[in-house]
Parts: sequence; C-alpha cells; structure tokens
Amino acid sequence: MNILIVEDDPDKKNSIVKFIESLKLDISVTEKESINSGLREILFRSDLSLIILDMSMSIDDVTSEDPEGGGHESFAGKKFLEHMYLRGIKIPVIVVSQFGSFGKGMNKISLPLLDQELLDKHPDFYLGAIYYNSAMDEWKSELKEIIMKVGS
Amino acid sequence: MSKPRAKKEVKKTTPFQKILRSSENNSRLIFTRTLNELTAVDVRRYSKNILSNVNFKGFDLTNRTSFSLFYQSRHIKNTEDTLSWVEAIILHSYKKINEFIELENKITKVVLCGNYTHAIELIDEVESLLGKSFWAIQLKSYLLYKMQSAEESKKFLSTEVGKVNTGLTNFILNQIGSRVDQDDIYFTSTKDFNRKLEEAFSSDLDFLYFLKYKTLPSEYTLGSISSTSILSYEIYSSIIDLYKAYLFCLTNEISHNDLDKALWLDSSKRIIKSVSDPSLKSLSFALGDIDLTSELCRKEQIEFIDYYTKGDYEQVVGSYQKSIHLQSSFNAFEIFTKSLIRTGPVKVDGVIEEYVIELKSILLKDSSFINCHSNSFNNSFSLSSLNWFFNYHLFLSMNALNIKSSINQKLKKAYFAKSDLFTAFKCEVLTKDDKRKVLSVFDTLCPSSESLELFKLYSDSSNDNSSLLKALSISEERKYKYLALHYSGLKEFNLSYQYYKKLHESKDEISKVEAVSGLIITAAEAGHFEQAAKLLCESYINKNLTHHNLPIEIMCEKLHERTGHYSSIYIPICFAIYTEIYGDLYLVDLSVSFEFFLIKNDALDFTSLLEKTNSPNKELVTFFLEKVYTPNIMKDTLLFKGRVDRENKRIPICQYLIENNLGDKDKLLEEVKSISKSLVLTNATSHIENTKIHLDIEYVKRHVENECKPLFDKYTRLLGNDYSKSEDEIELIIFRDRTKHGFETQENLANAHIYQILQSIHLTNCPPNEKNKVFMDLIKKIRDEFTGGVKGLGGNISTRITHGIIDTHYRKALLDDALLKKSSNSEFNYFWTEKLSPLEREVTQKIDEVIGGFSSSFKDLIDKVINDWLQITQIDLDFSTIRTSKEKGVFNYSISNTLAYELQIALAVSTDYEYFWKVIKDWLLITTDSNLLEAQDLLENTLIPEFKTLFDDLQNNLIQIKRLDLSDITELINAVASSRQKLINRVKESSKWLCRNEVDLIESVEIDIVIEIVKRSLSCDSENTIHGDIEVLGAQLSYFVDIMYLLFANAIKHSKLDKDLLSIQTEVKLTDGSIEIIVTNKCRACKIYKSKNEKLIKYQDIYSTEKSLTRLKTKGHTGFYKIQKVIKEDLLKNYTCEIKYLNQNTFQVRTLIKP
Repeated sequence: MNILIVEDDPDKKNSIVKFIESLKLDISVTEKESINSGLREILFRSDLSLIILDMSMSIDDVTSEDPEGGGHESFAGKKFLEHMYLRGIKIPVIVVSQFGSFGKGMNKISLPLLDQELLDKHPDFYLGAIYYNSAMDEWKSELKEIIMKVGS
Repeated sequence: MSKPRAKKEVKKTTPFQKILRSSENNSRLIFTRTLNELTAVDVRRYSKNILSNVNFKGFDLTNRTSFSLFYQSRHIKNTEDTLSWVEAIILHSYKKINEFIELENKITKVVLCGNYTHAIELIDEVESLLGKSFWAIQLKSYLLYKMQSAEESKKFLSTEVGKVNTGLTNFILNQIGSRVDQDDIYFTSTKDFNRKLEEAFSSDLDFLYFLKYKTLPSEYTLGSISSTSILSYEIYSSIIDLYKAYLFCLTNEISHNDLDKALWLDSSKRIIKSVSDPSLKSLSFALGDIDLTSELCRKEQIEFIDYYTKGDYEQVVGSYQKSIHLQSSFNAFEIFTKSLIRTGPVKVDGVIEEYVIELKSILLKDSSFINCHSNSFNNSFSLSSLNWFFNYHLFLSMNALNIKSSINQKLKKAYFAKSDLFTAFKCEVLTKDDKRKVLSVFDTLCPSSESLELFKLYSDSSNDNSSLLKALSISEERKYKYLALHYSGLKEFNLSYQYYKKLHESKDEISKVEAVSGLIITAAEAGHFEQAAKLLCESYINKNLTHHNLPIEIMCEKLHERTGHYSSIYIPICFAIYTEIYGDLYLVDLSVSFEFFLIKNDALDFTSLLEKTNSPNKELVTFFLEKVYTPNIMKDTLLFKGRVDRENKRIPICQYLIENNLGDKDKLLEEVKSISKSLVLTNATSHIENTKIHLDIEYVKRHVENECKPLFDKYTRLLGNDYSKSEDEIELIIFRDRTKHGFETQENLANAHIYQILQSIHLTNCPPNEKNKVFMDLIKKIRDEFTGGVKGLGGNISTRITHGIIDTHYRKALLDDALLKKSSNSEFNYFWTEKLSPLEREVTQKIDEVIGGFSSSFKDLIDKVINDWLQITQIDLDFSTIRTSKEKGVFNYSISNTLAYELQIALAVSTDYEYFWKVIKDWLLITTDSNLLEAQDLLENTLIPEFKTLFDDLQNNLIQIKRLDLSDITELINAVASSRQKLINRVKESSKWLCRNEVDLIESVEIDIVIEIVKRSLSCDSENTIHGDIEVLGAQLSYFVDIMYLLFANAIKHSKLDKDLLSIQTEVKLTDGSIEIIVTNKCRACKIYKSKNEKLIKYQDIYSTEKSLTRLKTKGHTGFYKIQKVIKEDLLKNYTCEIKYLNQNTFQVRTLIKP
C-alpha cells in the first residue's frame, strides 16, 4: 500500500509517519510539503492508495530562494481537492488537521463544517477529516480505521 | 324573604394583571416579566392595557425628544413574540402613523419637484407631530446637502451629535453624515464598510444585522439578514423608525427563499385594517393577501401596461404625464422612461428631467452608465426612506455592475413585490397557487388586456403556445422577447436562441441590451459551451459591454463541470472575468483551464502563443496576457518552478505589452517595477536574513597595526633567544609531543580543530617566559579588537542579534495569537477572556494563569539564549587557578598557553608580519566558524526541543483545566498549534543568521527596499515618501536595515499604541550628500509633551555624541546609541538626530547621516 502525506509541519508529519510505521503493515509513505509538490506527485503516480492531506500549508516548497513558499494558504487542502476534481484524479483523501477552525471573521468555518462541505463537494474521493492533537491519541484510532478500510 | 342574590360576575384576571399584582410595584420587574412571560397572543389581546400602563411609557414611541432615548435596551425574542410587540406598538399609534403616511406622500411629491425647502418644512412638521426619528434626520440632512452644501448638512448633524447621545446613536448619525462626505464614492466604499462590520461584529450577529440595516444599501441586507434582529432593536427607537423597519422586514422576508411567511402575513393583515399605506398593501399582497387584488389593481394602470406591451409608446408617455397616481410610482416612471427612449425627448418638469436622463443612460448601458448609476444610486439610497426612492434604489441595485445573481434574485423579488404596477414580472413573485388566483381576478376585472394574455401564454411552460404568442397584436420586439422566454421555459434552447438573435438584431436599443444575456445563456443551455464562452468574452472584451449584467456566474457554473475538457482560450478568460468581477470562487478553475490551454496548444512560451492562437483577436490576446498569464494564476498551475521562475516569466510579457502599446501601460509599468523590486527584495532579504555576522577582518588588521607591529617585531627579536631551558617552554614541548598523536588518532578529537581543543587546556603553574608573554599579549590584543572592537563580532551580535532583535523575532510568532502576557502580574489576558467569554470566570482565570505561566517560561528561555548562549566568552586561563568562570557563552575566544604555543609553531616557517597575520586570521575565523556552528546547534537542537516542550506543556495544562470542554477552546488550541509552528520556523530562520559573511552579493538597492525589509521583519506598515533616487550600496545594506529597524522598533515600542494605530510615515531625502530619514508616528496622548520635548533635546545631544560602545554593553534604552554606532563606526559618517513630539499625539525622529 502506498500513502502520500502532504504536510508542511515536520513534527506532525513525523508523528503521523511514526504511527503508520507502528501499524507494521506493508505501507510505503511518500512525503511532500506543499500543494504543488503534492499535486505533481499524484499526477505521475498511479499506485497511491491514500493521500493524507494537511489543510493549511504553502503553495510551493519552502526554499532559500523563496522562504515563503509562494505564500501560505489557510485552505490549501480545499484547493488541493479542487485541483484533483478538475484534473479527474480520484485517489482517496483524508484531511488531518491540527486546527479546529479556519479563516477569519464571517469567513471563519469550523473543521466539522468544512468537512461536511468537502464531503458534499467531492463524495467520490474525499473520505473525511480527522482532528489531530499531539497531546491526544484519538486521531490515531481514526486514522488507523481509514487506513485499514482503504487497504482492505 | 330575601331576593335571590344575583350571581356576581367574576372578572377573570388577565396574565398582565397577574404580573402587576405579583411584582410589588417594581417597574423594572413588571417590564421584564411582561416581556418574558406573556405569550404573543396575550400581547396582542391585552396590548391596550399594557401600553397604557405607566410602566410601559417607554414604548410610547411617538414623542421622542432626544436620540439618547433610542436603543436603551434590547430584548431578543423569537419572531412571533417580537412581531406581537411590534404589532401592538404600531396599532397603538396607528392614527399618528396614518398622518405620517399622508405627510410622507406630500414630501415625496415636493422632493420630486425639487422643492427642497418645502420638503424640509414638511419634515419639521412630521417631527413636531411624532418626535425625533432617524427617518427625519437622514432625510433632512440629505436635502440640506442638495439644497445648500455638505457643510450645512454636517453642521445640522453635528448639533444632534453634540447633544447627549449614546455611542450607538452617534455612530448611526455619523454614518448618515458620511453619505454626504463621500457622495461620489459612497457606492464603492460600502463594500469595504460591510467587510469591516462583518469582521468586527461576527460574534454578535443580531447587532451586526441591525448595524447593516441602519447603514448599508439593500444588496448587503435584503434576504440575508434577520428581520427579528432588526426589530428587536427598533422596538426601542421611534414610531416612524419602527414602522419603516417593519416595512423593510416584510420586504426582507419576501426576499428570503425559505420565508416563513404565515406570521408576517397575519401581522400585516391585522395592521392593514388600521394603517392605510399602499406600500404596506403591496407587501401584504406579495405575501399572499389576495383579497387586496381588486383594491390594488386599477384600470388606469392596466391600460398603461397594455399601451407599453403593444408598443404604443406615445400613449404611455401621455398617460403618465396626465396621471398623479402614476407619477407617484417609480415603477411607472421606469416604463415611462423606457417609452421616452423610443419616442424621443419630451419636455419634463423639475428635477424629474435629471432622473429621466440618468435612468435612460442606465437602461441603455451607454458610456455615461457609470456616472449616472453612481449619482442616482447615492441619491436614491440617501432618500430611500421615501417609498418612491426606495423602489428606485432597488432598481439601481438590481442594475448595478457585478451584482451577484443570487443577490439580484432577492432584489428582484423585493422590487416586484413592492411594485404598484401589475406586470407579468410582478406576478412571478407570487407562488403558483396565488398566481392562479390573481390571474382569475384579473380575468374578471380586465378580460381584454393584451398584457394579461401575453403573460398567461408565456408563463404556461407545459404547452407550446408559440403560435398563439405570434398571433398577439403586440410589438415585434415584445413578441421576440416573450417567444424566446417561452421556448426557454419549454427547454427548447436552440429555438430560444434564434429569437434572442432576432431581438439582438432589432433596431430597438433596449431590446438589443436585453438580448445579450439571453443569447449567451441559451447557447450554453443548448450545450454549445465554447460558443457561449466566446460570446461572453467578446461581449465583455471586444464589444465592451462591461456595463451589462452578463451571465458570467451562470457560465462559470456550467464550465466548472467540465473545466478539464476544453482547450479554448475563452475558457480561462471566462473564469478570469469572473475573478476580476466577483472574487476567487473559480480561481482553481482559472488556473487549471489556463494550464490546459497552454499545454494543449503548446504555448508555454508566450511568444509562441502569439503565433499559434489562430482565432482570437488582439484585444482578447491582450486581455489574456494582461490578466490571465499572471504570477497569481501561474502559481496554481504545475508548469512553473516557483515564485522566482513565475516572476521572471512575467516580466517579458509585461514588456511585450508595454512595447506594443497594449493594455494598461501605467499598470503594467508598475507591475514590472513591483516584480523587479520583489526579486531584488528576495535577494536582499535573503542576504540580510541569512547572515547577520559581517566581519571586516581587514579593518581589524588596520586598526591594530600600530600597536601590534612593534610587538610582533619584539616577538621576532625574542625568537633569537634560547628559551629551551625555561620551565614553561619545556612543559609546552612535552605536552605537544604527548598529545599530537592522540589528536590525530582519536576519532572524537580528529573531527574538531586543534585550536578548539587547545583553547581549554592551560598548563598551570608555568610562568611564561618573555617570548611567550609577548606573544600572548600580541594575540590577546588582536583577539580583543576582533571580538570587542568597533567592527568586531560583539557589535555584530549585539546590534543585529541579541539586543531587541532575536527576542522580537521570537515574540512575533506568539503575539498575533496573544499568547504572551507582559508580565506574570499584568492584567488579565483580555484577548482570550473576550474570545472565550461564555466560559465561567473561574475557568477563564485558570486559562489566563496557564498562559501567564507559559509566558514566563518563554521569557526565561529567551533570556537564556540572549544572556547565556549568544555571548562572547574570553576567559583569561592564566587566572584559572584563582577564578572559576561561570561564563557559558558559545562565542569562546579564550586563549590558553597551549593554544598560543600551537600558533607559534604554525608561525615557525616565517617571521613576516603578513604571514603572521594570515595565521592569526585563520585561527580567529576557524574559531568563529566553529562557534557559529555551535550556536546554530544550540538553537536547532536544544532551543527548539525546549520550546516544543513548553508548547506541549501549555496544551496539556489547558486540556487539564477542570470543567472545561475542549470544544470551548478550539480557537485557543488552534492558536497554540499555529504559534508553535511559527516559532519553530522563526528559530530556524534565526539559526541562519549565525553565518559568517565577508562578501556582499548585491551591488545596490533602492532605499524603499530597505524600508520594505524592515516592514516585513517587524510586521508593521509605513507610508513612504522618497525624494529622488536614493540607493544604498550592497555593502551598506545591512547597516541601513539596522538603522531603519531601530527607528521603527523605537516607534513601535515607545508609542504605546497598537501597531495598527501607529500610522508610521517615513520620509527619506538626499540633500548635499546627506541622507535625512524622518520617521513620524502616532503615539499615546502625552499632555506634557512640551516639557518632554525639552528633556529630549538633552538626550539627542547625548545620543549624537556620547561613546556608544560603552553604552551598548548594557541592556535597555540603547536604540539611539546603536544608531549612532552604526552610522559613525560602520558607515563612517557623521550623525545628528532630532527627537521630539510634534503634538501630543505625534512623535518624530529625524536622523541625519552626513558625509
């Protein structure tokens, strides 16, 4: 089973990868850290079974030439899914976010509401959202369930 | 015998009487209980008793003497209860309302005649009859503006503001005033104002809706705000304002798709029995009160519509001019003006002529559209408290450029609901059932009406009535229009398209305008998407039909389903038009269709695009290059390598457009300039950000040469002596022989440089011989200059890193999320207290304590970095036997006798001073590099884990607070996670500062780049004025960044204001070779600023003259010394400064850098 993680927070990424390794399943994980590097990966990969996606990240990878990585996007994950839809890519996606809400003022939306919006919009490949908290373990059982489901 | 006693009639106690009896004459209690306990039915039933009771005199809204009585309380209840109170209050004063309605009609008539003086007299009459109202004040202030001037209007308003009013009423009054202030830009500024209101009050939606209703045009309110919220406030205003709010709310409910109209219909039916208002009747009718049909529908009106349907425009004009009833209707005025366009000019009296001219232009979407629309919009909105103008305002909102179709639908519903003419479109507002009933009433009233027949045929979407439609004796254009609409209803889009085409080709100007959207929609509905997209793009770009409400949203919605299937240039252009007008909903579609177009047409290089695109015309390609092939769109494609690549590709496109005179030249020039700056800025920022240690080793050499050269000569002379018998020489030789082998073979030592190891090995009890002593003095002198001299390492570390830089850099990561308290004893963390306000105080206090503890640990860690780690250590190891050092600074330049001896060995091959200098330089730089690596290691591998632990503790401590549900503090937990990542990134950035840099990569940059770098690094804004071209040499870039940084940091720190309120203004000028930098900022009010200025004069002299290096070794209040140090020592220029308050709220620092 091949999983792609698109995530810019190294700690969170490591923690997810460690957890996946701890499952001791035959899983190979590829890591990308921006919308565009993640999209480039899925364009050329037909062997991916699951994408674990962060919701907020930068457009491009951060480099010394562009320390901002093309700019940070609060709804990067949403954009990523929109790209998948428009490009006809239907690899299952699970969003793992450490934020309970996104945006500001009237545009603010909670993770459950955003989750519902994305489920309505991309029912073909969007599996749902998991709230990640480094101090808690709930996310692990939720993620495990998804991985087992996708892998079966 | 006693008579049988008559049965005593027992009078039932009403719920209101029960409240009165059980509330012990406590007015407040009676009032609150009545509001809370009585049902809606009870309120209506006992309203007379309630409202005549002394405790409810506040609900007599007919005699308000001051605005301070407005909105004094507020009771949010459900819609039914709120409506029952509104109804009770309105009916309690219905006679006065009827008088008001009569006067209002008179006012409308005189305003339409332009007789503003008389209108104001009538408004005064209303005020003497019904007391103060926002209705009266708004109308009067605008009429004063029309009649006299903005100043007069403001003067009038200020007398009201000056009276004892509340913050809320003053805010509303000021908003009324601002309509006069910004007459010509009001329409555009509302969007911004709406956004600000939403940002500020999103946590109190009731208040937000009320404010929107009070201040914004209908497009921001109708159908999207809660009527109950509005009424819950207006119930405490004046009777006129409450009645007007009630009418607005009825309109609002009609505009809602999911209206629960039964409650509103019931209340309006009851009110209509007492209040005689045609406007209320129209709304009640639209809500479903069809008993009003015969009352509202008059023969005169039906004939008027029939003339128009038949195309008998002269009759339309004649009827309108004769009828007072028609003249009181804006909807009749619209039809009258449409007819005037066909008949040619006719003499019209008064200000109506102006309205005709403006409306003509709006209907024809001609070149004066924008001006006319803007003028009429402001005018109609300001007078919208009069019904005629409210309808005009709705019409203009519907015809505004770029109005969203969802909003337009709501406005249309409201417009036709309020219309007093029974047109086919008005009937569309009704439900199917009501429509059928109304049509049957019409049939009875006017069986021969052509308009009625037309509507019946066209609205029947189940049968093909085209032959009947064709047979009607109405104008050709009307026939085409209704045939197109009819076929569209039957989903025969190809046929519908043909009729739109005929309409579009007709000579009738209004028909042409009306046909454009239909053509595009039917082409798309028929499945010809690329043709529809082409039509839309050509209409927008080539035919410049930008004033039309083109069906851009509908097109994009349809294209979205198949974005990846097209290869046409029109598809990304359609999405770009949408983005330009409405926003970024289809931004990903735009980027993906743009990417697919470039790939499918092999046109990645824009020059090949020019050759290959065979269809489109110049304007289209220009639009594509100007507005589609831009970095913002490119960034969401997978065709470019990153920001710099995108910007580099954009520049030749802009240059091509500029050279060929295509597109908006000024804008393009600005873009090229801005991209070039951004590229330079990236380069310059990385230059500044990536290294803050600039060592000028040649300066050190020059600076010490006078002292060191004689010493070196002495040392070379002493080398001629034999010291082989001296005790220390013997010990040092033995030590060297013994350890040499160990250094080379032990792995852990072999990786380190020998200088580093020897630094900490000092052979004690060996008094140095003269040669070794001279050599030790010599290298200590050089080391001291290198570390503590004018251009030494210490200055670099202190000016660029430790003194206020690194702590600000780290704090910034936390400040946005308010995770820092100034001190553990400082006031409660108001930011989070407010955000989490529904929580118990005990819980929020606990949260505050946790944040306080976190702040304090965070501060301790930063202090450790600054005071312990990033410090220079140079222990004189010859004292090590008598002193134990506690210094932990990583910049260790201690010298031991073994190290000094090793350096002497390295020098043995030559006695040349230059060679000596080379060896010493290598030693210092090797040591520096090693120290920098250690400092980096400390930040990345010790500080980051420590910060992470700190954040983990913070999160755990928050989670463990008793009686706290995690969902209550989601935002705080978000803030913790977000700050954690930001801080880690910032520590990594700061680690990059710790690199040695000897070469300057940039030749020169403009001074505004310097300001930009500082603005970014301090996250603050500044308005800049640069006089002439002022460039900073690459070698001096970091010095100027330091100066500007210190000036801005000073403004931020000492202003005691929020950064948003600082309003920094930076002026830079070059005069006779001197650069003058003037930084002016707002500050917290200082009443004694004059005496403070006197003290500041003394300081500015001290700052300009006192030795800065000594002061810099202490912490705090060193900002101006640092500036002095940078200017005098690093830039080698002269420095003077002027520091003063300009007034009690403004502070200014003038810095002069003189040759």
